[in-house]
Amino acid sequence: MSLVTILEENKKICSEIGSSEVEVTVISNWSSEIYKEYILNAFLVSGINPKIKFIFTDFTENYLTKFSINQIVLVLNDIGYLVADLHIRQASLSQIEINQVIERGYKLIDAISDASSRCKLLITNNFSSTLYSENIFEDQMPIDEIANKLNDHIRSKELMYVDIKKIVENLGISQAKNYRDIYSKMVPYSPSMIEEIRKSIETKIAKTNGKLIKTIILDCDNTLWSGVIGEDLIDGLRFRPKDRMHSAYSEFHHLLKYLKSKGILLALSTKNNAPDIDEILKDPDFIFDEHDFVSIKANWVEKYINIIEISQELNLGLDSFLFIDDNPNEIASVQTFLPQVATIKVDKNFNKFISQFKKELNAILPISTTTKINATERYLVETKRNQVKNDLSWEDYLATLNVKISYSLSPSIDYERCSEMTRKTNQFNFTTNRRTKAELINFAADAELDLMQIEVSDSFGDYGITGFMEIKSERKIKTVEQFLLSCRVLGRGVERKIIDYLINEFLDDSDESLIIKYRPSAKNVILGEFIRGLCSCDFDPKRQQKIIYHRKENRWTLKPE
Amino acid sequence: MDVETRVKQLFELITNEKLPDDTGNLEVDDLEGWDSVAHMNLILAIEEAFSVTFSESEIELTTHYSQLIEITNKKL
Repeated sequence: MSLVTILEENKKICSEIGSSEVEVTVISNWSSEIYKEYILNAFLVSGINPKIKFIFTDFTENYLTKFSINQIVLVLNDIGYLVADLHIRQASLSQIEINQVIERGYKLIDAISDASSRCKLLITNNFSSTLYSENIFEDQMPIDEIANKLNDHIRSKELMYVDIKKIVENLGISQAKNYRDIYSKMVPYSPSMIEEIRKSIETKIAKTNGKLIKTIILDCDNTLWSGVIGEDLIDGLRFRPKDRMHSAYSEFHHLLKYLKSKGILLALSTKNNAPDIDEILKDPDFIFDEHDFVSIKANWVEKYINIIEISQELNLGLDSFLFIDDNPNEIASVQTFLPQVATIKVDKNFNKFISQFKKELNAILPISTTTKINATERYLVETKRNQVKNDLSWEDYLATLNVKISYSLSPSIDYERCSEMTRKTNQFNFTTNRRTKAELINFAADAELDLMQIEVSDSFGDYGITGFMEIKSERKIKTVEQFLLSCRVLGRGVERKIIDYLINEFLDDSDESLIIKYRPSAKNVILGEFIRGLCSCDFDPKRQQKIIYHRKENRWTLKPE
Repeated sequence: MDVETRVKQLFELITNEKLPDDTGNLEVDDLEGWDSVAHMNLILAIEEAFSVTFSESEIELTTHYSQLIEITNKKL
């Protein structure tokens, strides 16, 4: 996006955004403030209203100790200014000087890593030495050696970072470097480069903020293969090793397999006859089989209707879906009827499409994939479970499930996974408080706050860590500040069993009541039914309120806030 | 759109200030919203809008609003 477009977009979002300001500090050893509109934009488009403070310093470490857990911090340092005049003297540094700079860089990265556990979110960057060495010499230049070592060190830390090295490689040095302002104004990056940095920051914020692609819905004809079943027949489809286009389609298939291995779900929505699709999925030349897809819709209904059905089957929100199709009408129809669904149109030039798709991968891939169980397998188990459910009465069904729930308290919890769930879970989520790993570790130090991790299994499978709570103990009252469950364990009595556990086993003898906080969001309306069942009373899911269990009277009441 | 009208638009978008009628002696820092960061953004926006490039020395010369218009016009 151009600067003017960004400025106009920022103005528009600023006039509409309702959320309260979040403190953002940008620490930088170059004049990043010149590009403040780009950085502002990365937050605004993610629904965050930032109050940005820029700190221009050579001594980042001095500021890293001062952050609270409510703050977001960007540490955007450039290798050229890591020590005074490095960008000027980089070609003639002695080995001793190189080692000193590396040592200084290690300490800086360690300090950034420490700080990342003390603030809400910290994003930093790795380094590109080629902006300075320009790949002119065959030998590795001193600054290249420094950048390589420091990038290795950044990778070894659990840091969220903008991959400056990769951005420069992709753009090319001449596009990425700000030849005019690199020396006089200490601005090493061009507007094109900062636009890529903005996109990367935006993606990272969006992922942290719960906006994730969880499912890719694929068309088949001219998307998964070249050709149309209705015209070319199955034998005439071009994806086999003998076909000219095999490599491009095969590369796309392998990319999809890679995404699947990272926990992204794949589904098909194709205007074809189901037996034809079944036949292709059994074809030894096709790398996918039916088990690779959580849902296969081979029919003649409108694709947006299929997508709604898949969303219901998987219990996933439509804004976590990406739809890929070569037909502009199908793309337009989905964009019209389901604007929440992200779309990619397959370019007629498939090689061009592959390149575009690869660029999107960074936005598609989740931050962490700590869930141990294969996501596709899990959803296929869910389908099997639903089949049994349809055949039995509710009581018989629950009895056959043999649901087991285990609870762990901080510090013996998987902070990464719990943080991931706060970011990804939208529906059965009482307060929708997004938490970073650093925040949770910080909370665990509070003696009055228990973090509870919930694991669920049943006779169909082990669902792993699928629930999380934050429970505050104060003056004979236990308050559930946060309660969420992954939708994949709902509908088998798990949620009620957890409440029973809290009342019967988690409350101390001295506790008089249990309070569960509820704050409405655009997506947690499904809680309405559950809370009505729990309290046996009217419940308005649009109002923020407390759900209170009075131990003495053994009854529930609601208190609006 | 002529240079003066477009630069005025960009100026007001970036600085959040209404351009005074008399811009004869108007220079950077005369208005609260026209600081050095806003000035660099104005240069970047003019470069984008007219597909021109300012050299370092030209940027140093364009501290007055009238100079911005003059140099931009010369480049077209």
